[in-house]
Amino acid sequence: MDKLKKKLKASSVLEGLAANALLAIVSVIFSMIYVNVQNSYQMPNKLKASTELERIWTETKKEKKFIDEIIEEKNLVIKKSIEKYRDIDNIRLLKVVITNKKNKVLAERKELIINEF
Amino acid sequence: MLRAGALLYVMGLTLVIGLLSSFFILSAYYWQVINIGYDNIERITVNCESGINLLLSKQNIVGINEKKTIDLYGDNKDSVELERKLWGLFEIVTCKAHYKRNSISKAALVGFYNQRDVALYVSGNDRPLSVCGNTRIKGNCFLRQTDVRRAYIEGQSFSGIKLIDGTIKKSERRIPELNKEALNRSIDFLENAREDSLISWEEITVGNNTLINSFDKKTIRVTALNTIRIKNRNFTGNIIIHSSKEIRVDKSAILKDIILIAPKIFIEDSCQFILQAFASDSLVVGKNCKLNYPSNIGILSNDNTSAASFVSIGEKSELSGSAIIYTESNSQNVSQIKISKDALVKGLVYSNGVADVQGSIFGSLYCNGILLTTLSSVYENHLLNSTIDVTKLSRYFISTGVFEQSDNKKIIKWIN
Repeated sequence: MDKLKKKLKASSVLEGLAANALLAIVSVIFSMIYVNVQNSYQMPNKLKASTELERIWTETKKEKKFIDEIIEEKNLVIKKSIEKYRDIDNIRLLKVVITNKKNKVLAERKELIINEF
Repeated sequence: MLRAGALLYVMGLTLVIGLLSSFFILSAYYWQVINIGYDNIERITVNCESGINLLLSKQNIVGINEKKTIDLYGDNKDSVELERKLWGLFEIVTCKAHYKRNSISKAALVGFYNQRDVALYVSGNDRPLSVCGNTRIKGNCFLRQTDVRRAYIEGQSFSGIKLIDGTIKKSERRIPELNKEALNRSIDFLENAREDSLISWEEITVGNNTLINSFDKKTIRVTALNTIRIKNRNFTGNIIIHSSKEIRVDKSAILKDIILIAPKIFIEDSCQFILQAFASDSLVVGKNCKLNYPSNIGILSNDNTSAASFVSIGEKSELSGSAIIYTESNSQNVSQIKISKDALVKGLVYSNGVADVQGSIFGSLYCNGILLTTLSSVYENHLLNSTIDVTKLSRYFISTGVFEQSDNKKIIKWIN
């Protein structure tokens, strides 16, 4: 009984409060990290943009569709452009930039292509 | 009994949550590292292709035998090292792309593309062309006399329906000139070692039987003052074998992409190689040989004091590429190119001397005269049992810069 009295006498309220506070802080930090990690790297968006870039790139080169285009799909804005390169007659700069709706660049590719026409 | 150990439990839980948080941070970090690495490799691969495309264009940034580093898009991020150098009658373009700590390089053998419709171009004397036996000519022809005749020689008369399946136009006194600038560059390349690594043939025969040198390294020029006999040896890649006397190649050798240079070159029977061979006196390809695409053989010389040169392709042999004789005009010594019976050339034949065609050419023949030599006689401007058909030339055939005046450069094959 003495022993039991001694244990119940321990600072359980203070300890409980400290424990609750610690748990709350840790939970907040964890949530912040989780949300930040998800948002800052935009994993799904970047992956989606890379896949789209690959698709657009392959399609453009296969179909030789070297024209300026702006395509909006799946929350992505794809800007394709053909520019002159250093005043060389038979070469063009093909540029594809994929951004999200907030205009943040998710994927980009540039290549010099021979103009065979 | 209730133990008042809540803090301890929470500390444990904090540790678990802390580990979980670390896992999230680390996984995101590594995902990003892998993704950036992948993006960088893709970036330099695309930059490398851009560099090669730039070298194939009508650019004047990098000249022949020059190496330059340029910033591709002017943003100080995408730098590429571009290089152009001659390889016999072809050109090698190399691009090395760098970005951060990654780098990649590509090299290609390059030639020129032109759509061809000329099967035969004969200049020189004003005698009409005579065809006999099973001769077939398909494609446009340029002849001194536009009337082509049937003839009866060696007991054979013309057996076909059309003498020439194509249009006939009057040719000039001289065959079309080769691209002088490219020709002089090629002759200079063959005659001068420049920065090549030099090894004597005697030294190389002591070592092992294989010598492979990639095109991103310095050219190895194997030289000898005496006859070189290549037997049971493998020479592949960026190698030039140069003899001051003669080169003889046996069928036991493996030769790929290399260049042979000597006054006299003999490729013995039943050989199968991909090479470029240039002689100054005579070049003989034996019977049943196969010189695969892209191979070039010939005699190139700006020296008008040299004796009559001779190129011969033996019976049942096949050459995919070009056969050229170009020597400075000398009325006393007439150069000759001979395509023996059942031999086949898929590509271009050019002789500023005469040509003796008893086999087939799937492509074009340019010559200053046709001279048919049989056991019993010699006939001027006669074709017997020969085929010249430009329509059978592959539409992917890419020839050398010395034939073409166009800027339409194409990749023949990747070599690195």
